[in-house]
Amino acid sequence: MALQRMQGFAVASKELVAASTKPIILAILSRGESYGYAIIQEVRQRSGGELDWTDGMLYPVLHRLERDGLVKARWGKSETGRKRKYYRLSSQGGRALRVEKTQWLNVHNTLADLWGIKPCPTP
Amino acid sequence: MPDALTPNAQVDDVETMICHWRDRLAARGALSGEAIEELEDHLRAEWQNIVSSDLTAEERLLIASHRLGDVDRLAEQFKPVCGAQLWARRLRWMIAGYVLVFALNLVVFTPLKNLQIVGYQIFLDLGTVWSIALTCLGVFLAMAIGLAVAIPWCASRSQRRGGVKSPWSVMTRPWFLYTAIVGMPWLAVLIHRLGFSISLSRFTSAAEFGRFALADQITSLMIPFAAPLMVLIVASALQKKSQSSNAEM
Repeated sequence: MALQRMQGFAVASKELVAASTKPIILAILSRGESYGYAIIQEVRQRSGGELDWTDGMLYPVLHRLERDGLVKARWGKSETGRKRKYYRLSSQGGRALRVEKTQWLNVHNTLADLWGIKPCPTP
Repeated sequence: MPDALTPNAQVDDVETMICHWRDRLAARGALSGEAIEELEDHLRAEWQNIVSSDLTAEERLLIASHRLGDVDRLAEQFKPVCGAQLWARRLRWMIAGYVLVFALNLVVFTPLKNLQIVGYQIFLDLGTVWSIALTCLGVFLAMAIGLAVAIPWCASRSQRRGGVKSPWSVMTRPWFLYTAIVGMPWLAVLIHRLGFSISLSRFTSAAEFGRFALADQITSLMIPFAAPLMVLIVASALQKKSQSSNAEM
């Protein structure tokens, strides 16, 4: 795996990371309210470190999703009592997530078909 | 910040470091107070998550801030999102600058009004308008260039001093910059008027004074609008150029 990383085989390209940020954030928030640091941790954990997001990159994307009405934000308290900004999916965000899911599964299934892998059921 | 793992002395140092980090981020002008607060929460979470007995609290904070990304890059990433908010904030400081120097103008020149000659004949002389406008613009540009040189110098000075906050660091703050952009042209008009008031004695006729007075009124209304607009158009053109050259996400 370390060798693969060095050769750039497994780590997603910058363009792919940028394109997948929106559906990943929406999908994480569809499971419940969360905040920046926890979202990044979850992405790292679920991708096994293959999706290497720079921490600072997440927030402009979250703010853009908030501005576009796809997520809603509120200020709450962290476990240490400090101010923390929590995000959750809006109903508009839920619809956007369904569209994203269809599109990404279409791409996935086309490639799966070409590579002879079992396709995923589309929603 | 409650952090039972570190002794108080270290926590104080870490708080100072976080304060500095916030200051540097704020000085970039791209992030709102809320965005900085959110990033600080992230930094603290990352910092508390680094569990290592070999590292001091400061070292852990350095690692956490490195993971978050360096301050310039963070500010750069926030720029496209906060564009509208950024301009709203700039506009607020610019209006404050305008009002401030306008008030100064009133305080300085209200007593001088008594010097005006009653019953002068007013007519428009474009040549005089241009000469006053160019004088004011010249003074403004000289001040703007001075500021453009002074700000990076002050920034490097406030960094060199390390832990102690330099009084010069105020010049690197966005509110100072945008107040100054608007305030400076007014100051230029003010300086010009001072010269004008001193040279009042050289007017030989009421007509000549009238010509000068109208030109002064026109330029003093125009310059404070035209000069900052000029600076902002150039600045946003430069910003767009730098954004398109490193466009990502």
